[in-house]
Amino acid sequence: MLKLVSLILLLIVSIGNTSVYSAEVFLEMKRKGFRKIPLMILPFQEGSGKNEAASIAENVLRADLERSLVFELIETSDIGFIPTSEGAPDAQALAKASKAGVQGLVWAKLIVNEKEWVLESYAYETSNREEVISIRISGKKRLIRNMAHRFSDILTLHFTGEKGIAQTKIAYISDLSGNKEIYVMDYDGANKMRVTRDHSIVLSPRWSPSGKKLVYTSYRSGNPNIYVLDMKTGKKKMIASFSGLNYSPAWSPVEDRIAFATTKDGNSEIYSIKSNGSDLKRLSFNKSDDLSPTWSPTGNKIAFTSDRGGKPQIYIMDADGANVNRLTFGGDYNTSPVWSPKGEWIAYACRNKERRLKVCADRADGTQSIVVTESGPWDDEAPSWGQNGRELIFTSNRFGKSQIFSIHLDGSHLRRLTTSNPSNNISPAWSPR
Amino acid sequence: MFKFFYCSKSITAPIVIMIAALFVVGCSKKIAPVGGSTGLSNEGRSSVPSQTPTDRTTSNKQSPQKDSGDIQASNEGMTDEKLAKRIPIEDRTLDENGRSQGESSRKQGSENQSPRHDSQRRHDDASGSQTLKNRGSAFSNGGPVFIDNVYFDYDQALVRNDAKEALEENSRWLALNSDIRIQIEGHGDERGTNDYNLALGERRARSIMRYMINLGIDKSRFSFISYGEERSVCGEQKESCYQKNRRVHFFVKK
Repeated sequence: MLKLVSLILLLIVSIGNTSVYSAEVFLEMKRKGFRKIPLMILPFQEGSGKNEAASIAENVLRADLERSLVFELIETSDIGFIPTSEGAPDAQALAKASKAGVQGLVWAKLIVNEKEWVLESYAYETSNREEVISIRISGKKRLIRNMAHRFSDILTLHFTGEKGIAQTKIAYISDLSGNKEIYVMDYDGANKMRVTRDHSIVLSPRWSPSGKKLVYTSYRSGNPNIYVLDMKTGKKKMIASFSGLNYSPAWSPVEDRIAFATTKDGNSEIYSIKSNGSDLKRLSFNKSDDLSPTWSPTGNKIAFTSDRGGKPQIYIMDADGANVNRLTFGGDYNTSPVWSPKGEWIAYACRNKERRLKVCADRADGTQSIVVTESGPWDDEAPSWGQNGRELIFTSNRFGKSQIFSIHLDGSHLRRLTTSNPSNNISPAWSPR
Repeated sequence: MFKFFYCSKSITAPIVIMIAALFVVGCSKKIAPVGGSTGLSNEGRSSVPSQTPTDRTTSNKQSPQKDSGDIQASNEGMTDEKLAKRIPIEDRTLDENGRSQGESSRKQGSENQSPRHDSQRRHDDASGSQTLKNRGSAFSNGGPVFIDNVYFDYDQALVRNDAKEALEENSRWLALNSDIRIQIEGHGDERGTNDYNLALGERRARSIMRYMINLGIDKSRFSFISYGEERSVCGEQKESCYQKNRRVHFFVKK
């Protein structure tokens, strides 16, 4: 009981002041003597004269490395470094950079051929003056941003040992065409591409663990049914079409099962089904509405929304439906949980005292609860995790229409990813790597 | 196809270093090519129907559906306003009313086709107004009026007192028009999350359906669907607008 009370107190405090626990969360990144890795980017060169594409690639890489929050970018001017026209740094240059505290030098050269563009990408460790990355990344002209993202991920893996997320995508719903359809964009909001043409209402896209398929709800046949779309072949298959709502699907990270909610029993219950539409299993048994399932990264547990206590709150159960425990106790409206890729957090939409939705996150063991997005007269909802477990994307109408933003778990580094007024862009789902 | 390979010909760096880079980066297996890693390869781009968002069609929800192959989906694109044109319910009620109430009301009904009587509108709904006017005109001397929308309190699916009166009226109307079937559509305002509003919309639809069944209308004449907050009739962020969206709309089927 004491624990319950203290949890409630914790939530009240954290809703009142978003920054109270921010520092503590941020410590996670800083533990084990974490220090940002100082890198210096030398101006990208373009083989035959000036080309904007080289600086586009450089800027994309720069934005990626800054957004990752594990690199500190040192400018050449900061240390009085004058890049040569040759581009590639010599031993003297590396020594100078090393002395100035730069750990790695990054450089690339863009070669423009008729058929394809090639980004010759290099990185050097200054301490031993060694070339540690030398890779040719090639592709069509329109993929220049993706080539830079790729270079960023290679650098992240080399310098941190962790896979980067610069090549990930975001699926989302936009009403740009007049109907709600699925679109996909790069993780930085570039290269927006329409995916569905249902001319109806399409809702809540979620990725398969491979990133090759999407599962979502569409009203295209009249009833809200669940479909699986293969992004490579364009083929789609209806996998749940029970009378009533079939909605809020979520793909298991470890097996070929999709948890979802349906109202076929008279109220909303959680089921799981194979992605080919076979082997339906009922997971929740309750007269109230259970919806919005999300899997733990191990696939052992499912968190979901239920109003069995009178108001919507987040609950956790085993993947077979046993051992239901309530996670959230603060406020009277906590919905749309998403489990973090490393398992320690569950983010969700919480309603604060001003009756505004904000993005909250609780530790999955219930020991800590934070409000991620700042208070204010607008709604933030539909959080989705980046695979590094540090960043979230969500929908906010703080500037009028609903748009997609990203934010660091500690509430810092808010970034707007969609700008295409007058459309609403909602329900973002961040792809796996 | 997007691909990459290790520097082999044009780069003068020593092979030893390249192998070292390969080893350190380990990218040949761990990192899939850009396209492949997310399923958005070039093949994906060409086979999945795609359109750049800059290719903007100007209209919004009210734009007419052009995809005639998908009838159900077209129905969803329909606004309340179109309903009046598609389903000549005013004619139908006229006939039946005419039979039951005599020549005078039939005449009045036909005269009223362009100037409508507003007096019997119980609920103001911008998009449904034309339908309401048409229906009202047929019964301006006392017969039941079909009411398109009933409204709800925030976060609630309980039938409000003002809705009860409307539902009783609709039940009388349905009793007179026994061949009409009704789709009960549950809607919510934009506050709250999309998923939860879908559940709430369905609770509203079910709650209205139960109420009308209790009033004696046969269950087989109803179907229901929830649109959550996905099909709002009013887009501004203010209570008067939220109230218009927190509704159950009756979609009349033949």
